[in-house]
Amino acid sequence: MDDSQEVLLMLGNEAIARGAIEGGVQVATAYPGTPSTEIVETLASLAKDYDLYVEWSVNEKVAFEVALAASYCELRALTAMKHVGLNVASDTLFTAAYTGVRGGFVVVSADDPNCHSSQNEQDNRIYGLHAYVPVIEPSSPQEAKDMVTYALDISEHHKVPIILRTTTRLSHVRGPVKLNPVRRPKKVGSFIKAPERLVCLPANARRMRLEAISRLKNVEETFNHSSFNLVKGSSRIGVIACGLAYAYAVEALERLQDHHNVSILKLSTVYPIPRKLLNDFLKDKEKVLIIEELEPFIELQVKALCHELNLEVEIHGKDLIPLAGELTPQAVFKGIASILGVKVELPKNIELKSQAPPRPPILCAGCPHRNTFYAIKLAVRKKNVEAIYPSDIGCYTLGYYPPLEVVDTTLCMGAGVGLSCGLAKFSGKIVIATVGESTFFHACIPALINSVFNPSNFILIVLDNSFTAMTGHQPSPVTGMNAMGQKVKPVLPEDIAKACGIEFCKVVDPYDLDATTSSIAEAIDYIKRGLGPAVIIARRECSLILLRKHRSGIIKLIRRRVDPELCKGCLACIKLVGCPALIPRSGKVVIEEEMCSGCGLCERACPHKAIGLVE
Amino acid sequence: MMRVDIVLSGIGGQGILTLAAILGTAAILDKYDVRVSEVHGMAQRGGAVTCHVKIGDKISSPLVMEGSADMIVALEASETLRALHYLKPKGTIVTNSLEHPPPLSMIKGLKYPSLNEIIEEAKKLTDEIYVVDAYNVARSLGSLQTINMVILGSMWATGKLLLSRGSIVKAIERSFREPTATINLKAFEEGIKLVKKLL
Repeated sequence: MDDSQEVLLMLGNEAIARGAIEGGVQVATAYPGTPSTEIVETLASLAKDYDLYVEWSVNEKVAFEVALAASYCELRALTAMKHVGLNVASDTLFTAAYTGVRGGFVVVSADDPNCHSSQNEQDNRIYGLHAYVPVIEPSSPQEAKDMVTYALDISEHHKVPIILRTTTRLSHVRGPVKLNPVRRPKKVGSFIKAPERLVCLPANARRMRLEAISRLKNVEETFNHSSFNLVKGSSRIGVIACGLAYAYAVEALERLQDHHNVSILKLSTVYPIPRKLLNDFLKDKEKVLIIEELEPFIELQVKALCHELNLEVEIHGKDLIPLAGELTPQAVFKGIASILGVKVELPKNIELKSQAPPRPPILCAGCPHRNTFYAIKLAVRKKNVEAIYPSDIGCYTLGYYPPLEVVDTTLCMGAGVGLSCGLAKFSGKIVIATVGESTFFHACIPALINSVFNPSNFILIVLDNSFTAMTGHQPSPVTGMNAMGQKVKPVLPEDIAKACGIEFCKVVDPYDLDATTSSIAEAIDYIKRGLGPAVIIARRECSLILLRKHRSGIIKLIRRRVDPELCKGCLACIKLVGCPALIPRSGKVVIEEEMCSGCGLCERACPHKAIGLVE
Repeated sequence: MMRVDIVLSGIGGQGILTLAAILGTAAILDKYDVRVSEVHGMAQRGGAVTCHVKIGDKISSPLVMEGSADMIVALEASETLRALHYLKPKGTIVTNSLEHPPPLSMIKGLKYPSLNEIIEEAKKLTDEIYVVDAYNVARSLGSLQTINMVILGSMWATGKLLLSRGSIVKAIERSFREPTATINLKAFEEGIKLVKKLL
C-alpha cells in the first residue's frame, strides 16, 4: 500500500484498513474473527510504516476498551470485530455511547449473513438503535475505504462512537480502490480527567443519556447532507437500498432496462435515518421497495416515518426480499421485477443426475486436534463410560463431522466450559470439554474459576496449537509474539489453570497418542472420584505451520506412505481418521505426500499394517 | 458493454483465492472494472470454495447471477457440478480432471461421480468443455501448488477472458516471490498448451 493516488485491487477489509490510515487512525485493535480479520491483520502489517499501535486483544471487549481508551486520549482509533464479537463488547459499547468519545472512534461490525463461518446471523445495525450509536453501511470496497475516513470525522466532530457495518460479501470482495493521501498525525495521547463524564454513576448516567440522545439528533442533521447517500431518478416507484443491496439493485435495474422506470435511493447512513432526505424521496412515491441485508431495519423505520408524516406510500421490503441468509442478485432481481409488475424469466435449474459431493471444511491433514479427538474416543472406550463433549468456536469445531463426532455443543466463545459446569452437575455423564488455547484466553477463564468455586467434575482439554489458527494464524498469548512482531512472554494455559485452583493439570503431545490417551483415561478416573475438575493441555503446533516450516527447510517432517502390496483397499484408515491426505485411487489408498505431516494416526488405524514411515 | 462473468470452484487449499486475485489484478492492469468475491468461510480446511470474478466496463454486484456465468472453472472434477447452475447456456467450462473424493463421502458411502458422468451433465448446457490434466502437469513441475496457474493458462487459452496475456504475466509476477514466481509462470504457459492441444 503506497501513498500515490493509484488504483489497487483491494479486499473490502483491506480497503477499510487503508481508510483508517488515510483518516489518521493511530490505534487499531481486534480479536480475529471471520469475516472481519483482514482489517487489523492489514493494519498490523503496516504498523511500522505508519507508526500505528496495533494489537490482537484477548477478546473483543478488551479490544473495544483499548481502542476506546485511545479515543479518550484524543487519538483516532478503530476496533474491528465479527458480528458476534460485538455481543462480547456490547457491555462497553452501550456505556461508551453515554460517555461519548474524544478522538474519532470507529467500531467495524462485520456481519455474516448465511453464517458462512459463524454460529448465527445477526444484523448489528440494531445495536446502533439500541445503544444510541450511529451506523453507516458502505456498498463497495471504494466506499468502504472512503467511509472509514468519513466515520472518523463524524465521530470526532459529534463526540460519538460510530459503527461501520459490513457484511461478508463486502468484507471479502475485491475491487478497484483509488487511494487518497494518508494523514500521518504525530499526536501523542493525552488524557484529561473528566470523572463527571467517564464515571457512569447513576447521577451522571441519567444526564449522559440525554446527551447521547441529543448527539444523535445532530448526527441525523449531518446525515441529511451526506454525499454517501444518493438519489437517482424521480419516478413514482422507488427503491431504497442499503450497503451491498445497492450494488445488486443497480445490476438488476440494468437487466430490467426496458422497464426501469424506478428511482433509487442509496442509503448509506442507516442510523439515525436522515428523515428529511427520506421525506423528500418518499413524498411523491406510489410504492417503494426497501432492499437490505437481514432484518427489516430501514423498513420498520420508514414505515413509522410514513405514518408520522402522513405519507400514503405502499412500502414493501421483507415481503419480497428474503429475511434469512445472504442477498443474491437473483433475489433482488425478482423483488424489483415484482414491484414493477414485470414478468421475468429466471434461468431454470437444469435437472442433474449426479451431484457434487458434500465437502464441508474438515480438520487439516496432520492436525493435532484430530489426534486428541481420537485419543478421547480411545480413552472413553477403554474406561467404558458414556461421555458428553461440549466444545467451542475454532478449528476444533470441525470435530463435529464424522468420523470424529466429538463435538456435542457449540454456542459461542467460552460457552463450552460454562455449559460443562452445568452438564457435569446435572447430566450424570462424563463431561469432556474441548477448547482452543485462544478461546481459553478469550472467555473460558471465569467459567474455569467457577468450576473450582462451585465444584464441578469435568475434563477440560485445551487444544493448544500456539496460534489462533482458524482465522489465519494470528498470534495467541502462548505464541510468544504479538501483532506487531514484538517478542513477548508467553502466557501458558497450565499456569492459569493451576492459578485457578485446578489440581489435576497435565500437558501432553497429541502426536504421542498413547500418552495422550492414558492421561485422558487417568482424568476420567479422577473426575469419577469427584475430586474436582481436571485440565489437560494438548500441545502441538498447528500442522499448517509445521508444513510451512518443512517447505522452507526449517524442519524436516517424518512422513508416511501406504504400501500398495499390503493395502487391501478397505478404507478403514479414512473411515476411522478422516484425514484429507488419504485418497482412494484405483482401489487402494494413497497418501498425498505434499499434505502429510506424519502425525501417524493412519498407521494406528490401518488393520493391515500397510502404512509406515517413508524410508 | 464488455463483460465476462466467471465462477471458480474448488477445494480449500488449492489456491483458488490466489487464482481469483490474479485475475482481478490483471483486470485492473488492463483498465477494466472488476469484482472478485470469495465465498470461502473456512476455506483452508478442505471445504468447497467458490469464487465469483466479474470483469468488464462497469461492475456493481459482487456476485454472479445463477444461469448467467460466461465461464465456470473447476479445480477438481466433481466441483464442476457445484458451479454448473451458474453457467449460461452455451457457456465455457474449464475443468481439472483431478478426482479428489472428500473423506465424508466415503465415510457415509455417498456416490462420487465419475469424470464421464460429470461431462455428461455439463453437456446438457454446453459443448464447450475443456478437461485439462492440471494435476499431473503441476506434479511434473514439482509443485502441486501450481495447479491453479495451470488452470489459469487454460482459461486464458479459451480466448474468453478479455484479459491480455501480458497483464496476467505481470499479475503472476506481482503475486509471488522468486523462485515461486518462475515456476508459476511456467505452469501458466503449460496450461495454455493444454487447451491449445484440445482446440
